[in-house]
Amino acid sequence: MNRSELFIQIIALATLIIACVFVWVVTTEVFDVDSEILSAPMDMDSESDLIGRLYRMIPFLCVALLLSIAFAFYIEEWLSDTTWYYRVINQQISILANIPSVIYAILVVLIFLFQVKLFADFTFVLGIVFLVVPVTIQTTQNAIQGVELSVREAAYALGADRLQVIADHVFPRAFSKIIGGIFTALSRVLAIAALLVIVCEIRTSIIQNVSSFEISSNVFVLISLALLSCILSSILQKNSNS
Amino acid sequence: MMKVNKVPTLQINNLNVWYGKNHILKDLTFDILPKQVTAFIGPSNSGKTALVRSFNRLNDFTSSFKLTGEIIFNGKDIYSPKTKASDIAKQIGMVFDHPILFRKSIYDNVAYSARLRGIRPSVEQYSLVEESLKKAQLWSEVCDDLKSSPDVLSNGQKQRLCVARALAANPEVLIFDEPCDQLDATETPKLEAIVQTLKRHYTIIFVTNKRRQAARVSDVAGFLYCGELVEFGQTEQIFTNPEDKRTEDYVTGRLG
Repeated sequence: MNRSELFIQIIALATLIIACVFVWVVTTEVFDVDSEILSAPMDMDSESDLIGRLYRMIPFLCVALLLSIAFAFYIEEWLSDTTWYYRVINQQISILANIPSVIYAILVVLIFLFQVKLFADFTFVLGIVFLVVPVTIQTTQNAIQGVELSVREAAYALGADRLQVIADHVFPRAFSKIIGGIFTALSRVLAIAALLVIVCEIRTSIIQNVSSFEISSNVFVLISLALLSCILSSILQKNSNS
Repeated sequence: MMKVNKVPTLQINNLNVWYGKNHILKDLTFDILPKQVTAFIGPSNSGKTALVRSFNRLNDFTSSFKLTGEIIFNGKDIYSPKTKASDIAKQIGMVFDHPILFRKSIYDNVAYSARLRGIRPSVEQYSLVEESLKKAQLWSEVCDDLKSSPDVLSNGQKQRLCVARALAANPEVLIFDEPCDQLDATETPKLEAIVQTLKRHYTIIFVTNKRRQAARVSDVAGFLYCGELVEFGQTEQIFTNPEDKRTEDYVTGRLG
């Protein structure tokens, strides 16, 4: 690793830490004042409330997925890969994408358990952003990079402009890998959702002082969906290789 | 004998090209005249490909590429900020060293160029595809299965399909960048024959590292060595009576 590479990594890490601190400060300071808009007090006893909250995250999830795919196309196709900001962004994405999802899960669960009222929906949105966005961007980037340069050049040589090359050649060739990446991200989210439901149940049973508790069918549904999307993603990413 | 009365299609003035810190092309100045085959010969890494890729602005997508000097195409500077790279590429077609086909049927591969030109009506498109495939001498071999995938074709057929696709874009100049590199002995003469017929209507730039092929197909030849244009002139003179010692060494096989 040369010196400039190290420098880029340090910048990426430093900016990420600053961003995290900033988010923390904003969420604790700002929403303290005006917390009622973002979060009604959470009724922790009802599991259906949690499930409802999770369902409400679906539109956020879709938007996050679409935006991260668009962003991946932007940085791969429009930013030159020798510029320093491309390298910094790339480094940040790979740092975020390589953090195991368990760490995000622990954070979400901690906030959940301590019942910081000012979070709630906002916590979930943040959790989704951190779980989904970096992974999707990274897999989409890999998919775009996997399209052979020669195909692009052949299209450019015929007089196609950048958007036509992307729409006619890069996107169709990368498509199955991009969908595979979406499924990878989904499986992460679903697994965390299952974990949250379990935590919620355990907590309820502790409060009610019940010695044994049953895991609800929701958890099994979520876990099996997570496994299914995992399998789908591996199939899709394999298929496109051959 | 130089035909001086023709207006050159491409005028190259003091062209310098860098890839990063590598000075690939050093101060080239020459003219390419219309309706003839101009060949560039030279050992590998002499800058032949970098030169022809500057003509259709394919180098733009190499991030460390830098160019000084000018390339005038029909009176307009290719690299002026007003010129769009895609417009240049439409007028200067290219066939690569190996056949690059899209994941479409044989028909759609050729029709793609037509679509980029804005020709959408199917009758017009079909006649253009037919005409292009005939010019590339492939029509009789594929006319029955235009809708099938080009994977079934032989390498030589694929390369001729690439020629047809480039022709369907209706270029004025056609660049062949070592087109026979992966072709066998039966396919190479076919492609050379196509080049000979195409030169009646198109200006052809032919890059090759096979000396004899350049002697066979070209009217004018340029010898590139380490980024310098050592000699540029009539093919006959380059091969029989070269002025430069390095050219003589190359064409006789002592160099490269």
